[in-house]
Amino acid sequence: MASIRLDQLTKDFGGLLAVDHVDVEIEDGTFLALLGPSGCGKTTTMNMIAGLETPTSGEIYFGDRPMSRVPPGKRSVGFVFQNYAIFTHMTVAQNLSFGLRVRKPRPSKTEIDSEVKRVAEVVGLGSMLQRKASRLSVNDMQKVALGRSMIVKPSIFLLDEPFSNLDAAFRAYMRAELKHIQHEIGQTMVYVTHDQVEAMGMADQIAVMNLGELQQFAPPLEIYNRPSNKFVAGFVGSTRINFLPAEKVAVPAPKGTDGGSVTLAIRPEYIGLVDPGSAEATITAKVDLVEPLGATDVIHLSWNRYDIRAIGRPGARPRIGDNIGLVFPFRHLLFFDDQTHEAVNGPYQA
Amino acid sequence: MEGHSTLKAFGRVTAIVLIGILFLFPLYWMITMSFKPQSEWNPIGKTIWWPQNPTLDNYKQVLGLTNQNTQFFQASSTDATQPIIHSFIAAGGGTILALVAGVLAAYGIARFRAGGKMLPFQILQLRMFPPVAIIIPLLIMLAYIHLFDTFWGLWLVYGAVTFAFVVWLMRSFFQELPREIGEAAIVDGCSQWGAFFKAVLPNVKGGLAATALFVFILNWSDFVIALVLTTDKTTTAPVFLNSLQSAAAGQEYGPQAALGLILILPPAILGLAIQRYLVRGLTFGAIKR
Repeated sequence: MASIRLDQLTKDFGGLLAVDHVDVEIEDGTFLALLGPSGCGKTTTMNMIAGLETPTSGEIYFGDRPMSRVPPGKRSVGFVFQNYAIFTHMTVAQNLSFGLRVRKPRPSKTEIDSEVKRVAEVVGLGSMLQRKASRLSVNDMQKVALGRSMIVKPSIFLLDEPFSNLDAAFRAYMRAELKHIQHEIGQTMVYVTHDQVEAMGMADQIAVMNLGELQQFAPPLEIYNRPSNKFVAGFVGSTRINFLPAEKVAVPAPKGTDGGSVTLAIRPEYIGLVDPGSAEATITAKVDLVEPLGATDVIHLSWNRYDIRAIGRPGARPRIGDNIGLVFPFRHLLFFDDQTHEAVNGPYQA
Repeated sequence: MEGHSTLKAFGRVTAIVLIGILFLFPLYWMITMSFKPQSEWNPIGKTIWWPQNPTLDNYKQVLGLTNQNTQFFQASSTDATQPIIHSFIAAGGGTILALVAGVLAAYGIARFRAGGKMLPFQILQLRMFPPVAIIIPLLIMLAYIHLFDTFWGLWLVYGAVTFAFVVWLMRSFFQELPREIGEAAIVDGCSQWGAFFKAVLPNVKGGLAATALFVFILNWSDFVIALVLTTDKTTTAPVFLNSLQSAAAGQEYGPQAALGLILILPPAILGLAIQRYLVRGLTFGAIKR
């Protein structure tokens, strides 16, 4: 087990700044999610933590120990790759035991066998130890990958979009399993994902990245409710947050840099739906489309050429073309400077 | 419509048969020739399509099973067993050398972009020269370092000549393989070399087998290089085949055909033995998974 600290971590691929002076610090036993769109530098950051890439500048600490000169095999990390990277020329058992077999001094055969059995039980592969890895289903391949990285009892677990190739049901199952394992053994985990639902649901801390830069580093709810800039606000949230020019909406808004304009943002689920003429309504918008999701509806509305999404209840589903009043509760409003795109101190209250 | 598609099918079958005849005829001619006695090799004014007095003498002769030549006075040996052994040693050694150097180079190029973008093309360019163009300088060089008519000489030249093939074939196999395979082994505690031998190489063994066979066939069937760079100590089978001629009989078509057929066997047998890998190996690079 170990805490991790990234200190001004930078990776420059010949002029392409993949990771730009990233500072992150997590305590031992934390589940950290690196969240961002593809190409944001999260995988490069992960590879540097694992030692597969050497930082251009900056340093990685496990505990107090600087790691950039420590070879990957000596860092005591387990790595689960997106495309499994299991060894198809071996059986499941050989795959699982690989990390032990290349270790020096090599553990005894009985030791290896009992470890393989134990890990196989944990990941649910007990019955297929002798099967060729190339004959496994995608789901089982990922279990092998997970088991193979667990067997060496790493102090840090690194997972690079490990479940994104799995089908939805199994993905949900594995997510829960992983969270369970993490909770049980208090393992430090770093989890790379572009899926904000995964990050929100699993992580203790989320580091949102974009274009190589760290955008925000905070616990999930803070990321969700107090995004530090417009990018984070737009990237996090399964139904996209609404952005509107603040001056067009009749709400008291702060001023931006040099008294410049600001953008107002509000999450769909915080928008109240009322009758069109109601005195409470902040604005009145027209219904374009209703997406029934079961428990809730996503209502797409238009107002002054702006698209707005709100969450409705199936019991009170509006018809397309209806006008409805939208209430923007003041305490849920966020404001972003139009020049810097940074958050301006808004009225948000948790 | 019905008549139209029948016609098309007929045309297709005809084309297949014609092309098949074109390609298989030399093989047919070689097989029948190898069983013909001398009188049927090249009789004036006649074409003999099928041996009328089939004989195994040609085979016995090139395999050294007859002590004395029964057909005509023979100045030089017609026993091909030594040249065949030489061919195995020369082609096998050259193949191993090309594989060792080529596989490592290919991995370096595919994984670490060793040598920059142009290196693969610079290597490929080695194959742009016809062997004839470089064979005389090579002869002089080998003579200088006392490797003329030695297996080391042949190995070096065969290895160098087929190196480019190994690099290009293996490079595509390595590129197809997810780089995470090697990285996973490294994270698990392997060195770069350990990851290469334990995780990466076993995953491309189909491609490796196909490449090895391909290179072996190239070396095995070489004529020009061995003709110039060997005399008698390391004469290879194709060169020996060419020498099967005599004042009395001119070209000894029968023994030549028999030896030719024998020389087809090793690549054919190897091909069948690794067929399982071969199909996958040769189509591997062609399919986007």
